[in-house]
Amino acid sequence: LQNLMALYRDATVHSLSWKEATTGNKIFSILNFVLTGSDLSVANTLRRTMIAEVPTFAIDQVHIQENTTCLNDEFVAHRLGLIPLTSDTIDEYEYARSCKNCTKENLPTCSRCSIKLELAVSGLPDKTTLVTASDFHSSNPEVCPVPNFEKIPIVKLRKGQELRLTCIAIKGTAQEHAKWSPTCCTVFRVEPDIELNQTKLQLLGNEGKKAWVDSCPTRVFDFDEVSGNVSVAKPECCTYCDECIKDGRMRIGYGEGGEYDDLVTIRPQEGTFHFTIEGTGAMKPEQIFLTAIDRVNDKLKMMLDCLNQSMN
Amino acid sequence: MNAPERTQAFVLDEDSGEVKIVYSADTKVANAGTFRLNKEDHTVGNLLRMQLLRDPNVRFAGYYHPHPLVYFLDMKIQTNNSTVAPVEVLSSAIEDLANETDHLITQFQDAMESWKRENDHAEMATQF
Repeated sequence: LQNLMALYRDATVHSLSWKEATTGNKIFSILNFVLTGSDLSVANTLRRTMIAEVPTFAIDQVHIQENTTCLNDEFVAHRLGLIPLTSDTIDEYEYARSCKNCTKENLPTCSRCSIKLELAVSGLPDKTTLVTASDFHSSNPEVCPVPNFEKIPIVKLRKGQELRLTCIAIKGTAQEHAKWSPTCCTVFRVEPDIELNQTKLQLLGNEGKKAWVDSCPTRVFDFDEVSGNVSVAKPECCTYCDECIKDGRMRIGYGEGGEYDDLVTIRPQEGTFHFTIEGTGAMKPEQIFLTAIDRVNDKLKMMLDCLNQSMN
Repeated sequence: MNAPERTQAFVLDEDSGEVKIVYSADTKVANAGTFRLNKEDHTVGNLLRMQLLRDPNVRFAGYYHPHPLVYFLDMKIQTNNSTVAPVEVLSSAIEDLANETDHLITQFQDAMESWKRENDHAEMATQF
């Protein structure tokens, strides 16, 4: 193994910033950062792991004592499963399938692997009652419907209608069901290198330049009426749709010798990825990212152990 | 009745002796072999394949996921010469990736620390 050189990259993470999902609610569930010096496959693996392999809590079993609402049992149970529960302390819990206290039967019941949530609401006599996620009583106050989303409506009740049920929430990953995913929207973007061909741009008149700048659907370019200059205003808004290139070819025509001499050249920057992680509130977005890297690490180490075992 | 268990997609079936990686040397091509990675998908497959392609000792590296309902990957690796076995090349790729992800954790935590030092907004202080 001595003749194999280390092929690892020095990736860096910088430019962290947090944003609120809804302005003014003070819950910073969107994290933006930049990963540099890495590869597309690493960024994609992190994205996939953040979406599908970070464990959280979600309601998995619903025991219904009374349901006289307008929605049937499985409908209500499905809605309950999708309610996000605060899962910051998820590492202290075990998966129900490998819990030693619980038998292999259908009921995970111990406090090491499950949380019990109870709901009991009757319709008020004078108006429509809205059953929301905030009506839950949890056996463990650390795990409860996410504070930002406690107004999630479950069902509406009329006078005389009642909903009484007990739910068991367990640890799981989105590989099993999407209700366990801790993220709303996790994406990464590759920033483009945009070069304007100023000599060709001068061939268009001011009208032409303005129309060309307008052809970009996300307004990446800016046209200054006073000086007649076209500049790149917001490269981060570029979606690589190539509308500017097509529009330029329509105005100027193709270049000589079959080679395109376009008004603008857009190339993606290699190795730089702008991540946006939006969590549901089940965990802080930085916790989602760190857990995802840990999960990737664990997988890699497990595979390495397996290989070393088979080599010996 | 016919529905398979949901956890079957990602939990190794140790009762029936399923192991994470199964290697079979290729009979027709020299210095080549196929690794079957059980209960894995593109998350790890693409990562390993791209890392293997950076290694100058590797002549061929590719993987495929035969069907979405079948939960394993086949990764084919061929090395340049018989001094380096496919197993060695794969384990060095995994080690390098593990080092890179370890490095990423410290990088991220350092970035968070430096952000905390630079920004003392009261509203964000409640986040940490």
